[in-house]
Amino acid sequence: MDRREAPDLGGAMRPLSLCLAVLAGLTLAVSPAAAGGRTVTLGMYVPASAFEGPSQRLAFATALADHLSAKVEGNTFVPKIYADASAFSAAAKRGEVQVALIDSTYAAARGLPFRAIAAATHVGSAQVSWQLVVGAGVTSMAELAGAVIAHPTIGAKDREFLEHALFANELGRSFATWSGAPNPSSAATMVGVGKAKAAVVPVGTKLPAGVRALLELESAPLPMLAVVGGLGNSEISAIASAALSFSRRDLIDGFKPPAEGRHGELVKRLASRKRSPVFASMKSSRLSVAPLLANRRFAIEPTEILRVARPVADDEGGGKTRR
Amino acid sequence: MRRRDGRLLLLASLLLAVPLLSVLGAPAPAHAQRADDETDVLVSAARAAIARADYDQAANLLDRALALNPRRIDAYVLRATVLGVRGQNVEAVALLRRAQTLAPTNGDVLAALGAKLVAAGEPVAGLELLEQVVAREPRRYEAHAVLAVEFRRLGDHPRAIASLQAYLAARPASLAGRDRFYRLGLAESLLRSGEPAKARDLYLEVLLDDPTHPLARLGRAWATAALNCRLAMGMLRELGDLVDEVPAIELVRGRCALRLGRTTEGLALAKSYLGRDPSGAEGHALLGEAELASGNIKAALGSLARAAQAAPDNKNYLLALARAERQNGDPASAAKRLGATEPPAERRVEWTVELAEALTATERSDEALALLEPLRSSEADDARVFAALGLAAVALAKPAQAIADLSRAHELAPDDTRIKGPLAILLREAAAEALRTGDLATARARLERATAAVPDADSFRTLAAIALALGDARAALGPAEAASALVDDPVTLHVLARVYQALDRDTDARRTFAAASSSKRPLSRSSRDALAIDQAAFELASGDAVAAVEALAKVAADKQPSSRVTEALVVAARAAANDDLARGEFSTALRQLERAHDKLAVNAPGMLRDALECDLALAATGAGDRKRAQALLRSLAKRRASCELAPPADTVAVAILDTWVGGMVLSRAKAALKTLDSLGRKATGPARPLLDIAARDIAHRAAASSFDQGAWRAASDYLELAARYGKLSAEEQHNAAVVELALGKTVSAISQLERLTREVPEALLNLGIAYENRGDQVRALDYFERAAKAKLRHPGLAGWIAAKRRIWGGP
Repeated sequence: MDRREAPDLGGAMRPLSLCLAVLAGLTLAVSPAAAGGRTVTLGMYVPASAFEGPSQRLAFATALADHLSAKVEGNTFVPKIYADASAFSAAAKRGEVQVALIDSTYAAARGLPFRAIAAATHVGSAQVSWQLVVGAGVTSMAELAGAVIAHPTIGAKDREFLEHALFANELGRSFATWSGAPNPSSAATMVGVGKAKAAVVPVGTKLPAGVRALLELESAPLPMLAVVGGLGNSEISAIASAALSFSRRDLIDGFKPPAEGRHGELVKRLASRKRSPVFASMKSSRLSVAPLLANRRFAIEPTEILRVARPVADDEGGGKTRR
Repeated sequence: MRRRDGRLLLLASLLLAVPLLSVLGAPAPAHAQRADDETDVLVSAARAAIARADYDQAANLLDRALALNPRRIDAYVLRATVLGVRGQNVEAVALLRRAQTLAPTNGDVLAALGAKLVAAGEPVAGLELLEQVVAREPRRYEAHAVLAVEFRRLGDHPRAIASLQAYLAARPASLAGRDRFYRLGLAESLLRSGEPAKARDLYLEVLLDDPTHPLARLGRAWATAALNCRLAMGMLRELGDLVDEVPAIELVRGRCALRLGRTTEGLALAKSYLGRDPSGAEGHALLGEAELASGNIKAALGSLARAAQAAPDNKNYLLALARAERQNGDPASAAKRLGATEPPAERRVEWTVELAEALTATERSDEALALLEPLRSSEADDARVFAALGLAAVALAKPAQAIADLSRAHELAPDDTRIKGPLAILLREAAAEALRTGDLATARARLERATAAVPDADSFRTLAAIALALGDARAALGPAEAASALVDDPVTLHVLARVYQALDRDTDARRTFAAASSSKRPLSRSSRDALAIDQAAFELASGDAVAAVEALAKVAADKQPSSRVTEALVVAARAAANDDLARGEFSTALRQLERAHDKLAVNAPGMLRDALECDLALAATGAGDRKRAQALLRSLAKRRASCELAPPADTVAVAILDTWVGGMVLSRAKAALKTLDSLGRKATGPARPLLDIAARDIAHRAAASSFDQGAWRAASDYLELAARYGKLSAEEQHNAAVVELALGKTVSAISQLERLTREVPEALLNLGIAYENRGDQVRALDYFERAAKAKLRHPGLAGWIAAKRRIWGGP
């Protein structure tokens, strides 16, 4: 197991922040696939995706880079995997990454600073459901009050993602203690080893023995392929087009054009939707003005009957006699 | 009857033999001659020879007697008789003249001489002599017999009738067996003299003795035809066995058929008759009249012209021809033709009337009147005369005279369409004139007479309207229904609906108004407007203001509806909105009133506009349409308009509403409430509730706005202020609890909200939130679900329920 991605489970559990600090800045460099032409760095930051481990991530990144290299003429795509948000963010700022596969949750938490050009899919869907997994003996959400609940660290607004987006504001702020893990598998493992009573992970995460799903939570978009910077429109268009033809039997098995508004919706869900009491409008019947209108009489003056019976000369008159 | 009829000629010839037969059958004269025995023997033998028709022997014996005794007068008479039998009338006259010389006053001689003079071709002398005889000896029946035959031959039927009646009265019983002959003659003369009833009785007497007697059958049918064509038709048909001998049967049948209006039958009989006698004038005349009756005037003219040509002296044909000419549009020719000829005595009136009509048609009505005036008194019971007088008066533009004369004609001939039509038209015009002057009673009387003459929808409809205008709805019903039975036009249905309405037959009125308004027949705009207005007036009076608005919708949709329509629409819309306003359904009232306001013309009467806009302002204020209400109130205030509200609200309403609308904005709520406080001094009586409502609404809106801004305390204060203007409503109490909830007083809020869940559905939602705040997810879910079941509209509620069920468990 690659320590840069595996949870530190040795001895007493270290604080999550310390683990993240160890991993910061470490990347898995991969040699260019072909010499000559322009080199495009394909970054990959997907901590909330349910890849089983670094090798699976690397294999996926390599396959995607190869595909794009093959499809986008004159460009060689080099995969670069980031294990924490700050490393990815810093690389992006420095212009080291031009295009990246990023967790949608992270992008949304950052306010969508990157331009999405394709949405990852699994079995045709660009969404993935999240779930609450528990160890033996837990049968309801209420039993988790005050407990530690593990989750994959997203890199920004983790709590908002969990409480607002996944639990729909149903949990009070002090309902449980959230404990971050480097990825979904690590979060699930924390339950398996008793370091957490439950974990919130995407569906598809391999669960350790004795850990089972208790609740299905809200869903969230799968990772997005986004332009980080340094690409012209034609290249962006070529990459987006090339991504659509990517296919692989994996956690992500393809791409489709990004659905408009889907990521924006996630941004909104991150905000607190506090349930506020509402005023009742005054029924208009309470504003009865009936006393003012009493004794009103309405009448229309009928037409003078002789004028009805004998229309004026320019009228057509009485019609034809029925025979 | 035709003089040339074969049977009658035969009868006439038989009658000429009457003197001979009567003499033969008569007893010897009373004054016996003194003669010798031989003369007596000879005369007696001669009588016996005559009796056995041995005239040669009789002549011989009588010649011998006269030779023995030249003064034997009876022998002269007998000898003259024998000469007559042999046709030697001149010789008989000469012989009798000798006898007259011997006995100048002898009645037998004079009677025989008279008869022989007639037979010898000297009728004038013969008749004169015979008349002297009967004058001196009225019971000299043989003289009467000869006179009767001769008068009949001369066509002098009145004198023939007198002679025949005298004969029948005087003849000896021994001659009774020959009475049938004289009765038939008498019947024919009576018939020809215009006494068909008496003639028919005589024919019937004959038929009692001999039901198959052809002449009597013929005569009875003829006489009956003169009396009653309907009765005669059967008899005439039964004369089929005589038609070949007497073709005139077809003529009489044809005329009767025409008189009965059986034009086709008349045509067929005329043609059949013409087949027997192609050149006969009577056939062409009958055909012409049949063609005239069938409307084929051109053909009639041809036929009648042929009849007139064939019998130029027949004035009947001239008359018929002239009538056809007039009807063919050539009254001038008709007038000329009739004016040039003296009318026949028996058809003088008809002739004069026809000439007058022709003159009227050629704009010579004065001449027509001059011709007709003398007949006014002499023919006081002749409808034709008064009809012609009336028509001439019409042409001379004397409607009153025309009505009087045509009315008299109509009285005399109630079924005559030539009279009824013009009379009805005149009466209708006269009624219209009376209506123009406002004389409803006269107009009504005239129209009643007009409809009695010719039922017509317009007149019935007007009659109904007059009766309604006179307040007599019961009397209006008959004419109104009669009119609608004749026509199905919307105007007539409109009048009928008004009659039903006046009779409180609302269901019928509604149905009839609906039928009128859905009629596909064309209707002028003013009639269409009147119909819609009256339908709306009816619905409004029935208490259905919405139906009244609907009734006006179609005409109000015109690009520029008439002012009457707009005014009616305003009234109906205000009435419909009035109920909505009273129920507090301000938005509905607003929509209703706005539709009417859209149609209000710029120059609409001020009071109408003020009333509508006042109601609109009230509705807009109640509905919370601040912008609209302000615009209206500003306009009303500028015009210093008073509203149609119970005083003193009529004068202070605009100010109260204006303050109300102004105070709907939070920033102005306090100032508005202060203004209302100051207006409170004026707002007494029915105005007070308006002020209270305004103040409460302002305070409540301010509370809501404050709450939305998170100013819980301010919201609470405003709600307390609202309570000053009346008991807090359930909503206001609820909102006070909501403020407490927001302020964190959850327990108190829950307690109050739970009391209000029935009246205020929002309480359920707020209770859910309150329990959620307390961490009681189960009760929170329960209240959310109850809120949803109460159909409370809240954008997040369905999602909340779903999330709660998913996370905390539930059904």
